[in-house]
Amino acid sequence: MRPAEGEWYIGIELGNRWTLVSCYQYQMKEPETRGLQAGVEQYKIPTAICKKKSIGQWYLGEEAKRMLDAGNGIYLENLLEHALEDQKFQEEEICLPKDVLLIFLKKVLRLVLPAQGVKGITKCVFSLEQVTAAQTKLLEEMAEQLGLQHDQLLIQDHRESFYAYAVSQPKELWLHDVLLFDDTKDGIQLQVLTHNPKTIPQVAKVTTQQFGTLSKDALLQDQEFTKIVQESLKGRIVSSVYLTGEGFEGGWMKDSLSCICRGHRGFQGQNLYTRGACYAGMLEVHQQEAATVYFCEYKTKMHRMLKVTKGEKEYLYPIVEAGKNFHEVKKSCKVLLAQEPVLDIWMQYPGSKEAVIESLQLEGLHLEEGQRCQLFIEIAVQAQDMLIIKITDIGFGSLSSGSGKKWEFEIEGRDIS
Amino acid sequence: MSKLWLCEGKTAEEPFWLEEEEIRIATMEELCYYLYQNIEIIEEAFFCESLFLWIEQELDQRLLAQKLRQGMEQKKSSFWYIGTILTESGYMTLEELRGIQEIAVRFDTKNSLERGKLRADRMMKHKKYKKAITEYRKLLKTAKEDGVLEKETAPIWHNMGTGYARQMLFAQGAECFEKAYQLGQQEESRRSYLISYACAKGEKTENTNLECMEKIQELQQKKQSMSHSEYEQYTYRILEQLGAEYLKSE
Repeated sequence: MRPAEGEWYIGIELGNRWTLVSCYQYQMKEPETRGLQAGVEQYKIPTAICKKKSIGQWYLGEEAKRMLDAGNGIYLENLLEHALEDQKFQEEEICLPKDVLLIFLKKVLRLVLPAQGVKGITKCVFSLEQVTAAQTKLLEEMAEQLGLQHDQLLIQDHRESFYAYAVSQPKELWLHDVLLFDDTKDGIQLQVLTHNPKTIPQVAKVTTQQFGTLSKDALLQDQEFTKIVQESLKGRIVSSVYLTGEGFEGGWMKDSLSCICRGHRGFQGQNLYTRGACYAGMLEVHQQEAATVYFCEYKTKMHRMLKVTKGEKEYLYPIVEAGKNFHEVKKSCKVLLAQEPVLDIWMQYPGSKEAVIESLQLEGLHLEEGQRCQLFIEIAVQAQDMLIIKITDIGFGSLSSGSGKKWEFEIEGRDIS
Repeated sequence: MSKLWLCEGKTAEEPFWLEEEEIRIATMEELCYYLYQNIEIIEEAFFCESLFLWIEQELDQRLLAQKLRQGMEQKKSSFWYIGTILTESGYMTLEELRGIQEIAVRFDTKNSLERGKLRADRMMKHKKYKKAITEYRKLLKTAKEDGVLEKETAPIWHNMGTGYARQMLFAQGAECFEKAYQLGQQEESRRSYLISYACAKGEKTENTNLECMEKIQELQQKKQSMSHSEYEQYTYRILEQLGAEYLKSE
């Protein structure tokens, strides 16, 4: 799968210390990571910004460091953490932390924008260490101020970026399990991508395992990591192994590397998540063509549908599709309702033939025989796959005002036995 | 079991404006709602090029507009247009569409005076009294010009009386009921006349039978014991009942 003509994907790996940004468009074979300096393979951008004293201009990366060293600027770090906690900077009390993060993101985004600007972006995908409600809210706010529409934004964690990266490689590289060792912080984390080839599309998931930090001594470090690799490979059929994080730099891997490369393809790089985020955007847009589908705790687990009529035909209209990130589900539609004041929501797991129906009673709505009312339905999903439905009887414009009654329902995600 | 239809159509940037009724139609759903509520009222003249152009450009329904234009060339009836739009919208059940066909067949067997009356009666049913009265007046004029026997216009006079009475215009209502009774000699017209007259004048009339006398006395008592609005509601209910009975007896 490749981006179609006119499509432009952006992947931003946003961390508290570092940020990496990539873009992917139809003329590219694979996503390209961009740094602050063209032609230099230095992609990591400190999530920090420097405000030049007197003129109040903002600078990133090396320029920012130079300004700080020269004593000409106010250097602000850990921008994500400050914005999340709404914690003011000691060095700069006038600027709000969210405003500073926005300036930083604007500058980062500028590195990968298409000619048409923000409007030309198909998907802008943020890859985070962890997706939390607070981070989602913050990034939605940022995205809006950056000029991104709701459907241009995708927020996911690094596990999903790893999944998207792995399944976008040639099939032989993910025929079986795929391992990723991440030594970015707090020791080594193993991520294992597995998929079920018996389902269509193949349901994929990523599990994680945390190992401790390695010894500082290069020899011991190699021995310890070799053990971790051996333990991780044991009992698994593995197609490929990826290494990411600054901990793997320095050329200390000897035995461990040969262990990784024995019978598997091994890859090492620092921009897997940012590139994976680009791929994730493309997979989202072209989900119909994708061989796999990914599930995790921040995704909807089941389809929710309305049984609607068109002429003499009846069909199920999806109001929420399984596999969507909760923050993505913000939808509205209008329906005509007749006969009984009840709205049935059909819930079904992907691939399952069984469905359960949740009947929503619209108390106080009176429908006479042959009469229809027009309802405006707003749909959102919150944590724990909780479906929020708001319904309003809107009538028929100037012909009939409708009752104006409103109903709100919360439907918990449930297991279908 | 409830039934649902998804509203997928576009909302018009420029709504279709029905000047006479001061109504704006902005979506296919609203157009269908209007047509279905006014099946027997809408005349062929409603289906004109400006409506087809609006359907084509504002609702993006090119094929439907084409079909309607073809119908215009073939001089189709208003029921054909209504049926075509409602069928294409997908918002009607087969049963409802059959119901429209039945009304169309019923209309075809009637002469122009009867059709006109059915339309006006339908307006009454939808509480469009002023419009219905205008329609009844037009029908009476046409009937006179066409040399229709006056006796045959008695139901029109009666229904017109009901239209006035339902707007609390009892004096005009009484006049119409009186004319209806003179021409048709129907007991319902006489009773309605007496009640309307009593409401208008608040006094007894000659030639009233016992049942009517009781009704008038009852009304007088109610008038004294009730507030003005309660009294109006009460008389309105009685007239509604009489109207319904009369329509049934047709």
